[in-house]
Amino acid sequence: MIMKNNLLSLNQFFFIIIQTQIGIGVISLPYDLHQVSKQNGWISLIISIFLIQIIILIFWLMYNRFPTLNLYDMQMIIYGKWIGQSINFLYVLYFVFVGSLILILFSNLINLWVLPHTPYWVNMLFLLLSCVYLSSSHITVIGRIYTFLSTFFIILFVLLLNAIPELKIYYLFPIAKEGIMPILKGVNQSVLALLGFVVILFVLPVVKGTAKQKLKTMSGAIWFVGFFYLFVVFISFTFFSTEEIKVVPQPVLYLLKSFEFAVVSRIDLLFLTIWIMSVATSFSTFLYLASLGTMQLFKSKKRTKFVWVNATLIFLLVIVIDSKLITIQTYAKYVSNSGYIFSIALPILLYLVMLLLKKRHKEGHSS
Amino acid sequence: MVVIIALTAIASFVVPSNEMSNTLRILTFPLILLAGTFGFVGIAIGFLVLLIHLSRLESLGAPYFAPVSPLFVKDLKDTFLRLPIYKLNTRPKDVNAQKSVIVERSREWDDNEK
Amino acid sequence: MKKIIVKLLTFIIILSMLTGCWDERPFKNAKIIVGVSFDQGKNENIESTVLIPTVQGGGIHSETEKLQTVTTEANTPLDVRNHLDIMVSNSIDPSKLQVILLGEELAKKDIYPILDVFYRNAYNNLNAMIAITEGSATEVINTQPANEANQSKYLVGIINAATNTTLYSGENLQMICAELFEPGEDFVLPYLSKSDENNSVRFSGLALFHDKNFTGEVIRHEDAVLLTLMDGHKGKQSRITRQIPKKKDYDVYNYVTIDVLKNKKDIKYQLDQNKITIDLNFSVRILEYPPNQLKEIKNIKELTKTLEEELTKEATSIIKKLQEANSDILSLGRKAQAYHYNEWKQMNWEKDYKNLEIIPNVKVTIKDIGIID
Repeated sequence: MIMKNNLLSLNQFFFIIIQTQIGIGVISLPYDLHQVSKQNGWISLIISIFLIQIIILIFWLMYNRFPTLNLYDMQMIIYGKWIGQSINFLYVLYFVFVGSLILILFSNLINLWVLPHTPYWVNMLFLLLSCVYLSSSHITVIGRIYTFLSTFFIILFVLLLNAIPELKIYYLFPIAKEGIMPILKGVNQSVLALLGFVVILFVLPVVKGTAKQKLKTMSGAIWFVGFFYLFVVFISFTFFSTEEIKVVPQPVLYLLKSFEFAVVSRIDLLFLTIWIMSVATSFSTFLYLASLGTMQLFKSKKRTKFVWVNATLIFLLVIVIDSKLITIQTYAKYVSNSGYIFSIALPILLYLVMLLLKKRHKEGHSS
Repeated sequence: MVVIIALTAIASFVVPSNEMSNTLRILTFPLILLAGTFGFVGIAIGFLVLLIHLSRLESLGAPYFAPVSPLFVKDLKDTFLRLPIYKLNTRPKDVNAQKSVIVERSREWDDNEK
Repeated sequence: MKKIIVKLLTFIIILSMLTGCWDERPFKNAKIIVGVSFDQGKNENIESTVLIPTVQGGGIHSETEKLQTVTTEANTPLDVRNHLDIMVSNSIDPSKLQVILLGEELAKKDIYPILDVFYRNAYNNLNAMIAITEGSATEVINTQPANEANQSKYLVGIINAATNTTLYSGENLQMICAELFEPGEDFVLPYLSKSDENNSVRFSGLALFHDKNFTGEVIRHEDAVLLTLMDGHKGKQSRITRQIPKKKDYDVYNYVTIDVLKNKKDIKYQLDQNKITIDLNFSVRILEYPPNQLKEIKNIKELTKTLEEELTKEATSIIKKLQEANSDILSLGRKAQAYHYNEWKQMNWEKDYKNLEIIPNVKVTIKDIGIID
């Protein structure tokens, strides 16, 4: 009975994936896509969803070989102690960097839209502290909270539906007249927005259910996120003209700003509030993953302690970055591009090594 | 302003018991402070922390927010709406009952008719 | 360890409270402006007037709202605000802005520099209505009819009434932004003018824009309904009154008023022949038809035909006017780019638009004749 309670249900697994993926990116995704692939951004988005579906399939095959281990453990077993530990360390670093990037972008946006005079680190600290509280709890609790917060997606959806009378479909045309290259470049952008699916590799072993059920849930989550993004992109591409969206870095907020309800006159603020929740969730997932890694590195059982350690690290990192050592754009570029290595290249490499060494769960003990 | 005060006053009647309204009163103060300092963002974060706290609570192993998160769709029949009594023949899932189905008749009036 | 952390946390939280609020913007420290007008100033600068409401009385006595108007000259819209800040108590806050008026002279130049500040600041209200005025905008914004207490509400009311009767599409500051930026697509703004009798403002038509400047051409308000319908917008009512062939000597008999219930638009491009056909399908209801005798199908057919001819003729003249002003209100250019990219690419839309043969074709279906025949 106790064992059963410590596992995630399939529902919670689903919501953990979508909450990790939908985060900071959703607000600026249409702008980023439009920068590279013009009005054809939605095609690149669909292509990237298919790509990620394939990657997820590989993740699932990896899981089938080692059904009880997460990525950190797998790497320890496959690569041996030293290489495994150092790769794990890199992963922890990556998660810490992603966390700090999320914090920076978050506080920048809040400064820009709501609280222009509040010091950035105060905004950040508030998010950080609540996320430390969130990610220091057990994974099932995290799953529970994510499930609860996912109800807010319905509100986001309904808010965006307001724009429908103003949409002009012909802004989406002409399709693919600039050639294939911009679309492929857009795939890069949209994969970046969809990063975060790496959480699957760490959470899979603690989900209850058969392997097939898990695969279904995973793919379902990816497609849910994909369609949500597609909806957002579609709405903002057709609401803003192809020229206007070039000057609007946060199209979703800007779109909502032009509507007014009877009681709530600033819908963008309402949206922002809900969006803070999804930023908090994706941030605390990364914090959780980082703490999992450090726990593995120091062979400790106290995760809460490491959550604090990582949070402090992230905070210091943000302070350092914000002191203009490196501009936010370049930092964002480096961090999000390194996502390719950590969420796609390294897991696939690991799988190839697994295939070569023909390692399976049963043999795992002998090595 | 008038609207807000009126809403607050009406909302205070929703709380069923005195203890609960005391809890809410205490909870209000930090939220007021947060709202005063950070506006909407503060309220959002305040509620987030409150939510995390409530979700972490467990009484005797049963999650405090039970049928909603973790979501048990079957248990929702006794949460927001109350279905007819003869439909309420399963025990809540979150308490891990050993027998999940209530065996006795829940429609007591059936016996009376005999 | 845990105790230290708890202490530290409490310390930090209390510290953050000591600072108070950084972004406090209390109502008492700001002068809300509800309306603003911009005019061409004398020395290549901008003359601007703002409306500042102040509430007097209150408590037991009923509150009276008074509007203060302040006029100043400056180089840019934000510079105006700087000038105003030193003229009024407290600072100017435009976040509840309801209406922006632009003078004709100023609008003929680029309007984007004027509007930039409204788009850029996150606090600004993008729901504000924007209008062009005949002559000076300052004069219009200062016009206060005897029974209206609040000019900005009055002006917004005029524009909203125009939207309800399909004289205007009701696009606010944000909605025009897309068309402002996009090439191959233009927009209209309400054209307000001051009428000297009884000191009031009237909606006198739609100002045609090309790119970012006012072309100087105005569609009269009689034709505005048809243009708005052609653009695909429809308010609550869309009444059109037209003359019909003479039936009786008394002239009031010779008119029909219809209300368009549904409008459908279908644009056919034949760009290789420089030809565009616009099919408009209106389902209408007869609101006013003094000659009666609509029971007979023959009469209905006849009326339909008259209406179709009349409206087609009018639509043709509207389109001619649009072409003369080089103002592509119907977004023909952007749609051509979207659906007929290859032909569009060979053309130079900016120049060729004027010379295109655009044929409107109005089809009328009478759906309803009211409760008498």
